[in-house]
Amino acid sequence: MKIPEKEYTATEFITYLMEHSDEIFEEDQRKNWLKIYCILVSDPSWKSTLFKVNEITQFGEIFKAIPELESPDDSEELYFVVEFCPGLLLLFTTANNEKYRRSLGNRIKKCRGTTHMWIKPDLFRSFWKEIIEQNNGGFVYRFTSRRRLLDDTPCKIRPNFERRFNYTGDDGTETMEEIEEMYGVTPTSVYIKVSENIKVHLTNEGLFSAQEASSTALSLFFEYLNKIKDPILKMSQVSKSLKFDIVSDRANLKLASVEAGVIKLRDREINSYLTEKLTEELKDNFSFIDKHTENGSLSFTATVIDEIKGSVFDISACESEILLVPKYRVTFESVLGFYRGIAESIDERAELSIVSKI
Amino acid sequence: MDEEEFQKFLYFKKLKEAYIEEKKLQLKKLEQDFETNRNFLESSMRNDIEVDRKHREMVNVCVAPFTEKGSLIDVGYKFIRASPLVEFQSPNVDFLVFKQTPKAKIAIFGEAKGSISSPEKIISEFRKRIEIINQKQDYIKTNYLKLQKDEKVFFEYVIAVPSGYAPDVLNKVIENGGGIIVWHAPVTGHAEISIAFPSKILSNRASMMHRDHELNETLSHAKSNRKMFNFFPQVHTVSKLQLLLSTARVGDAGHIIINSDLKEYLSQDLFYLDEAAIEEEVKSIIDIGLYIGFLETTIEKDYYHVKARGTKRDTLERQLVDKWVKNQIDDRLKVQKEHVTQEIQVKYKAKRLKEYKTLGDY
Repeated sequence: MKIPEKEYTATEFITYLMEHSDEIFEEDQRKNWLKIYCILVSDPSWKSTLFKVNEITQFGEIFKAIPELESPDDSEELYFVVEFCPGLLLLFTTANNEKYRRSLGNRIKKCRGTTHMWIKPDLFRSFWKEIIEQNNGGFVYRFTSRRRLLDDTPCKIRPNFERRFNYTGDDGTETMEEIEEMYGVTPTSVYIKVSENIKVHLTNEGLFSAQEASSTALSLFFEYLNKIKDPILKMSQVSKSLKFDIVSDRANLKLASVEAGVIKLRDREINSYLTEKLTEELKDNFSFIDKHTENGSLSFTATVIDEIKGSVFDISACESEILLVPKYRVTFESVLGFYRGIAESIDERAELSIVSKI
Repeated sequence: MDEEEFQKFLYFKKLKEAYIEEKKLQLKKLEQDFETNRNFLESSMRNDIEVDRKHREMVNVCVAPFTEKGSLIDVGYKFIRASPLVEFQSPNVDFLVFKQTPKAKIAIFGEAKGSISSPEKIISEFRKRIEIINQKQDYIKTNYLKLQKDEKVFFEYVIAVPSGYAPDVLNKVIENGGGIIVWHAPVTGHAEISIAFPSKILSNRASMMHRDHELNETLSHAKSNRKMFNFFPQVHTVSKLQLLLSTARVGDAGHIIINSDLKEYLSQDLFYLDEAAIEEEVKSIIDIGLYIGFLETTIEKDYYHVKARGTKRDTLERQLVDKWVKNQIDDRLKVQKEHVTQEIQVKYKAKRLKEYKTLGDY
């Protein structure tokens, strides 16, 4: 990517990209797709937590970043970072997926206060569907769909199996719907041929990429990002609001003040079987200790530890909701990650909010 | 007298051999008995951990509505502390909530029961604890409630039980003359807390209800939470050791525990204790961790290494509990062995003095 090094506001930078897409990529011989990674961050400290001082240069409101090489065989990759709105970064790059994963991708997974922007299944669905509907002739030509163990997506064939489909074919739009109906799988990665010259790729992890970095492709991205960002940022804000503070009242008595979260289930009730399976399903990232389940009308309590980010929070569930109490060094993406587990595994329409009163 | 000295004292070869043989047999029998009962002992110890978990849940259900964003905070009561009077090492209750308005000051002392074997017993025990609280009224006013000794405070006493036990417990309170308020909470489903109202025909009904009508009215299916505080001053040792799992940092050589991390966590859960008391808790947790072989010291002061296999905390939890249980059984066996040895020594000492005299004995 070749961008003149001068001061930009975020809007100026995006406008420049849209108006000069031909020049920006003309020297890039690799013909890699332009990728925009949407990253949620806890606060403005991402500059120092995500990057080393020598890796990042500021140009007004945008930042140029060249992460240190992970191995001597790697080549340098360039990223432009824009804080699109408070709490949401856009990383522009032409680095291929593998290189991104090894460098910034891994950092984001490990670094406290940063996470890839996960898009809820219903929001993701509306995202790619609208692109097709509003662009006559657009169609899905490649996709990945999966079904998780506890998934309650309606399914006609062997609903108790986990499965993943990778499909390539110009009838992808129809196939995706057909296999969703038959096999109860939900799309997580979708390639769309929008028109003769525009191919885009979207994932539910907040990646948008375009084969040609044309102004049309970029407008498409910003149009849809603007449509989905509010509910995502709201969810992120809720996760950031959870707190366990000690305060003093007027009489100087020390008191506990707990801002707890709640995940309310809409389409499904939890039972002891589901809680057991849920802990299995989330075991790559989360450990559940001090676990206790009472059967009948369910009571499930546990301390949940995010093994990667180190957050510790308590959960207390009945059949219709799960209360979350932040306990120790909780960072917002741990809460979001747990919520994602519930939404993807148990109830797609589950909602995360702050408890008004415990 | 240690073993060597004792055998020296026995002096006679025949007597020494008889002593050694009997001791060997008795200790072997003891070990065999322990092995036979190991499963029972283990399950009883693990059951104690579960009982504590239920108890913690019940305490949480009682106090959560009185934290700053709690469902009953608008009624004016605030959760002040758990285990009031624990510092006196005498039997105490589980929690204290307090309300003060220009009109009245009301302190509620509560005992939470996660499960109940005998309503009669828990009520009589609770009444003894009430006596201790009454003796310490001045201390409570000045130290916990930041009031002057002479300020008038109404003390009320609550016993909180699982909903299924509420009728029995309330009946026992009535039989025993009232004076105790019964709260109850379901152990499954939504976490909530309610008051068990005594019959309207009882002449002492008021003594089994709060003097604050608003609290009586709002304490009906009030929203609560079963898991908010994990650490109380008097929880089970294993519940205290769980803190090691929550605060462990992942390093290159495995999990590392740092004193200051434990302190940071505890200053939240034990917000009502002073720094010295929290530091004492931290020290005690570390000491137990070292004693049962779950921790080992490192070259750095206040840094400890977790001695366990695996990287995930749920795996560590299993090993922590196993180590604690094994350690408890080993400790019991050790104590019993000492006891048996002492008994045999008494027997042989008497034999030696009575039947095997030396010139020196005359």
